[in-house]
Amino acid sequence: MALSIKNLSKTYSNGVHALKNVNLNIPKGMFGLLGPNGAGKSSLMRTIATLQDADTGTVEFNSINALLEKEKLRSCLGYLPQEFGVYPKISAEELLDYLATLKGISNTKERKELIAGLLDLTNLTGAKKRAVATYSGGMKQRFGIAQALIGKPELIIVDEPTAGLDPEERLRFYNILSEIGDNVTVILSTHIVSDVSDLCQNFAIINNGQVLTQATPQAASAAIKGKIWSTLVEKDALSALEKNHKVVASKFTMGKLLVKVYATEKPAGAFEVIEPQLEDFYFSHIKGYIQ
Amino acid sequence: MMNSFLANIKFELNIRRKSISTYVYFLMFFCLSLLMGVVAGGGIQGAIVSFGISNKVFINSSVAITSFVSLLSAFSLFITAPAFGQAVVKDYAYQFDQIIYSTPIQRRLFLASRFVAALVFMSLVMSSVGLGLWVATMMPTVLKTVVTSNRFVAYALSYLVIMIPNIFIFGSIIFLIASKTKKMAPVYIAMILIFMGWMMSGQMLSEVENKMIASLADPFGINATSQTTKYWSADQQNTNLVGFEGYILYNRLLWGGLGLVCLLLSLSSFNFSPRLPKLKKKADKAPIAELKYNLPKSLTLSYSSLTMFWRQLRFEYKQVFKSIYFQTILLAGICYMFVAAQNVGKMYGTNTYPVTYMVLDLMGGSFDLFILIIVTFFAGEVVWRDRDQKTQQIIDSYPVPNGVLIAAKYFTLIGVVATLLSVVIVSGVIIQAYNGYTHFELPLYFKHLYGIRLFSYINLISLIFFLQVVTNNKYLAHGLTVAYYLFNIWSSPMGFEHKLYNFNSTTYLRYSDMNKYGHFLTNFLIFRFYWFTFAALLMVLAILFWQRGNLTDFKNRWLEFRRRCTPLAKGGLIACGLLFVGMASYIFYNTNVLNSYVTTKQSEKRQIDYEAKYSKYRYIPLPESQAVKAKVDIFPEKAAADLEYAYQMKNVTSKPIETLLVDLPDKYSPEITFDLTFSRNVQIDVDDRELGVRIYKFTPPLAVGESFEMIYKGRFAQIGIPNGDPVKQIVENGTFFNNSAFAVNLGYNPEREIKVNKTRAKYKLSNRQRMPDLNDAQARNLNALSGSESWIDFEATISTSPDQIAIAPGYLQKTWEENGRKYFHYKMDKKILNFYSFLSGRYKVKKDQWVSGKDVVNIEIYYHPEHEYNVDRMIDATKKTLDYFTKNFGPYQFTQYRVIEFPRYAGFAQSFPNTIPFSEAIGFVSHVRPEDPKDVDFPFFVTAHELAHQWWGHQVIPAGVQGAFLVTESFAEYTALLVMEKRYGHEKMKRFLREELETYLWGRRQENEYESPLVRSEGQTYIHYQKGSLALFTLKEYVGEDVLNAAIKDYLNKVKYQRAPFTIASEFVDIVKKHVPVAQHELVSDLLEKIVVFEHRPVSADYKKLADNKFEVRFKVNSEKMYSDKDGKETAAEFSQPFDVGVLNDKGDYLYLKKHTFKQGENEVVLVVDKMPAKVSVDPLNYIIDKTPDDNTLTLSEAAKESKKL
Repeated sequence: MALSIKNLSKTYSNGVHALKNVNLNIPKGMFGLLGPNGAGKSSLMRTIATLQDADTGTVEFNSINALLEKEKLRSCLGYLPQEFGVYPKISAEELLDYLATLKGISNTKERKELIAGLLDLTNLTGAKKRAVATYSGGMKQRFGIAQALIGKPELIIVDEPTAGLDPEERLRFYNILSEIGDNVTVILSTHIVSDVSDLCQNFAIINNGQVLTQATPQAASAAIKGKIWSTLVEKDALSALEKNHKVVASKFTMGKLLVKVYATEKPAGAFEVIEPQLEDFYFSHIKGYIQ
Repeated sequence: MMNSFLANIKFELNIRRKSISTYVYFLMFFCLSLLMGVVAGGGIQGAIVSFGISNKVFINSSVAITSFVSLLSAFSLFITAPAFGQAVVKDYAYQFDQIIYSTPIQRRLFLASRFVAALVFMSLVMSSVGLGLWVATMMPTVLKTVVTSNRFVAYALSYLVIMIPNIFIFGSIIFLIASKTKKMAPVYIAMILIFMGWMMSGQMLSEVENKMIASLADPFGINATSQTTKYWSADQQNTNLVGFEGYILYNRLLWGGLGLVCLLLSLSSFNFSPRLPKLKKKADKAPIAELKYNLPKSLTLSYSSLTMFWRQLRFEYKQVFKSIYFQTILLAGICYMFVAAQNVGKMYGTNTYPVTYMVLDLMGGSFDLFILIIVTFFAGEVVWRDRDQKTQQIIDSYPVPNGVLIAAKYFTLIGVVATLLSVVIVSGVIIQAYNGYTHFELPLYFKHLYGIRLFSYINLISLIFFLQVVTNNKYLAHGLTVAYYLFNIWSSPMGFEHKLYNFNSTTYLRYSDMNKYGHFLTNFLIFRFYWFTFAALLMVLAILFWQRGNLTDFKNRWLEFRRRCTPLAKGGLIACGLLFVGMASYIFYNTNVLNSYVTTKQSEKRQIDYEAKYSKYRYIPLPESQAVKAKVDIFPEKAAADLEYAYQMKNVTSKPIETLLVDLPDKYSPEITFDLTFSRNVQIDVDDRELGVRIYKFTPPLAVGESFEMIYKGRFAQIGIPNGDPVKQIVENGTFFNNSAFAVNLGYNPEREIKVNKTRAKYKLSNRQRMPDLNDAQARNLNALSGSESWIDFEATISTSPDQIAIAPGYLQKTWEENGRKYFHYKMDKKILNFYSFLSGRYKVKKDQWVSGKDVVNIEIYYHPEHEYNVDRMIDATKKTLDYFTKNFGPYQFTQYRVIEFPRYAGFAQSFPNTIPFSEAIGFVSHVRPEDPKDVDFPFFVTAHELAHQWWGHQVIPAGVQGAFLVTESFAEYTALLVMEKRYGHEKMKRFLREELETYLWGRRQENEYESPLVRSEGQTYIHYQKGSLALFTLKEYVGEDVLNAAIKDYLNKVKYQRAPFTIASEFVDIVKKHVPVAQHELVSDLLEKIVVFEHRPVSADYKKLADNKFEVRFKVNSEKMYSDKDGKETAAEFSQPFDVGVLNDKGDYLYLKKHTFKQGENEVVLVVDKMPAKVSVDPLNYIIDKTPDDNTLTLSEAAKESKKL
């Protein structure tokens, strides 16, 4: 395994128990870390990215102890934090040049080539002279990925990269990630299930600081095949349904409510089995229907 | 509507009431005020503070309260700015703006309520200042003599006039800035700029003519208060209430008006809209398909620390320079530097040449402040940059080592300071070139700025950097940094005097053109290095404590610290620690073992002991020196000297003498070793090494007329490094010391007593009479210049390095070289006062002669080769003075007059027999421009003054009682003025007299005990110099120069070369009275025996053109004459006395200058002039002591036509 996380726990000084005995084995390729807001995704990502310490446990990447040999890990790391700012009045090109130097690319010629390539890859070449501070959200995010790709990162961590992007930008972003994700380990944290189903070969679900499960999207669908049932009800009937069934999700269709429930057997009533989606797997775990 | 306004204020105040910071601020200012009050009241031993008032003024008089409140209101700016800034910005800062501004509130009213709430809040918080002072006056330790009964109205007035208006003024300015920018950073910048502006206006106060500007330029009203109450007598200062009057009124109107404008502007133009996100430029819509993946296949990852460091340094440096705040402060600093350059080394309105050290001093005093602010502020910015810009998570995940990151940030700050120092060089050279001075000493600039100054800043930057890193709170670190600055200023007065624990403190260093940095540099650098080792220790700790990633809690920081303590880091810590401890031990060994570390308190204790034990010996009869033979060997390169003085002593009293008290170097002066031997039998009765006193018993007693020889052998050589100031008299080039330095003094020395009565009161000592009473018969046996000693034969052999010239009073008999040293033998041909000096330096000499009939005087000026500027002026002054004096007073007793330059470790000139040591700071580099009406020929005047002392001080020797300096300093000042008047003309004297008048008026206000009349002056310089020259000049104007000269000559002939009992000033007054008509006795008495002040106030002045093309000038003056008692209590008096009336044209030339008689009350003067008049003035030359000389002049207006009156 490329990255192995063992027994990782972290409690903040304000008492928040952010990580509870996390164990994960992450292979090469795209790996999705799926969980609602506040699940502990960012804590886990920051810990892997050497930005904070755990109370107990180990993180090992290609035999580098990430918690102790921080500098060694940093030299093969690309990290895009969930939120980041940029220095004012600096163009993308100059900022990348500065960052590339800090990443250890001392050769000026190589650095120039690399930056040109990164700007091309992230489609920022046309805007390379503009101050990054004036970029739109999508452009800034692409700049973020460009900086994460500087050097030869073998471990790339992107924390909620698609939050706030419009569908078009998001697609562009996927494109870049899938291009690079073949030979390296990419960890993508998100609360959007389709990010994982579209991109990742592997994923884990995390909630309340705990890993609920780790699987491939195919295995996940297979695991709940035949266990997701749906029914169409009046909207005021939902609370009654919730009392008796494990409701996975509900949505409006033409004034009525389409409710999906989890059940190993066909529940009583007008339910019919449907082809399960990754989303159903996710909610079944989050809501504790599957232990 | 009003309801919501009030409700809003109540809401805001409620928030403040619940906030802990409110109470912290209140308590902080209360304690500060209490502490300062108690200290000013002498309530803390060893600490003395005064807030711009004299010791005689009660600390709770209205003047004192107003000064105090205005001073502290300046510091309140640091709360005012955030309070008013937050009143506007908080909605934006907490991103509450979109909500607030979508509610249906009356917006202007809403904002106004915020302003009023902040004003009320600040006024309440600052009430702590008055309260603190009030409580201070009731503290048991505060001396009862410095407090009066507390008057509520005095406190209330100070708030009404100063404190609340100040809060309003700054609140409005800050409010405007905050409402325009909607950010806090500009608020803080404005706060700093206002504070700096205030500090600058304080410096401008030293310039007499800028009084109005200085009063107005100070936004806190401190200068305005001191200017308004400047000429109040002590009595008025203690009783009058300070209200809206004089400069205070103008200042309040100006700044209050500005405040009002700012407030109205901010209310009317405030953009009441939430700060909406800016519209982005259209994002590029490149098609998705075009994904170009062509990253280089191979990359060399070298992780070169040097490359990373260099890149990070460049990046940080650029960020600092791009900052608008940096640019603002820098620009302000440069402007200030050029403004300050207008006054290079100003003395009596005359500038010096902008020699490099002067320019550097100027920068030290002004630009340093700006550098400090930049360093303090930007250390926070640089350390916090990544976190502030939210890039920290990216940067911190990069493989750049902590050390590289920190080093780059640290060196950025050093680089910024180095750049600022380069700005100083460029500005300095421009200032020099602008003044036509082209001797650019670039190596000196480099040495001083990049060597000495930068070294100091490196240490300081380390401290600030460390504080920023370790506290992990930008604002707390700023606070601690400011606390350090304050400690640095106050540590010494508070009794923390050792340099070992005053961070970055070091020993004396002053550049002199003559002596360069001298031997002081080594010790200076040793201390700097000591603090550098400490700074290095701090920096290692900073690296270990540096926050990388999200280590916010203490536990994690500590864990990370332990993890980073690698053997290398530990080694660094231990190495720096050992170096620091080693240096500290070395310094302690030097200051406390080799030398004696004596605190001010300890030395005060010794002064008390000295007085208690030995004052009974004050008037014991002593043998007197008849002749002195000195052998002095000066070793300039070692800053050492060997002395041997052989005194021929004799009992000239009428009784046998049993005891001899001598002051000798005490055990705290290890740098001096000595031996005292006698040619007759003596016994040591008391050997007090603690106080440096020895009492010998003559066995048998010294018979009347008996002589003996006393030989003092001393050796001076600095040992190690003293904590206090080193001896500056013996140096590599420019040695100058007098007969009492490193040697013995006979008899009790009252100068060693504690002189300040406030300090004495703390030790329960009785008040000290500054000088014995004028009619104290016993005291008349001691003279003011050399005590019991008077006339001696003098001979000296001095040796020095072969490239130097050594000088002592007398005539050069022989000079020779021996053992690689050069010897000079000087001998006096007649008796001189027992007061002589020794000098040695590498001099260039200019010689000239004054010839008058048979008399010849050889004039020699010994000067530093670069300081040739005023040598000819000095020679000219010597000749003109000799002309005038020999004609009017009597012969010069010597045939030689020598002026010798010495380094600027002291800034005076002093008259020894035919020998005048003259500091390089005062005259050798003066830049006299005779065509400038404002210039006073300072070198000319000083040379004349010192030569005058050859008569007044070396022929006339007064007793050491009240009024002694009337016949030395006042005479020298006045007679030098006469020579100046001959040289430059009567009307040119105004400049000088006005300066003297201002200095006198200021001096009498600052008087700590009581003002004396001239004839009883007690060493008060403002009386014996300034009032002396004014009074004698006035007397001359009324009785005539010839009459006064005749009186002076009479007096001289009566008392010259006197032995004990010595002359007293009242003898001179009696002689003057003999020379002038009885009608003028009152005038003589007013000037010399009483304290009289006039007040002329022209109330109207106009002119009309007459038929014959002449002009009739008519003006009315209110005149008052007042007698002042010693405490400044004034009584008006009837008078009838002529005063100069001058009419000037628009170019400032006199059209008319004649005396007119004025009486008490309103006077009208009508006179006719030939040309178009512009101004009319009473006493235009300002020699009459007028309480407010400013208002003596009026601009004339054309009289209304007769017809119009009907």
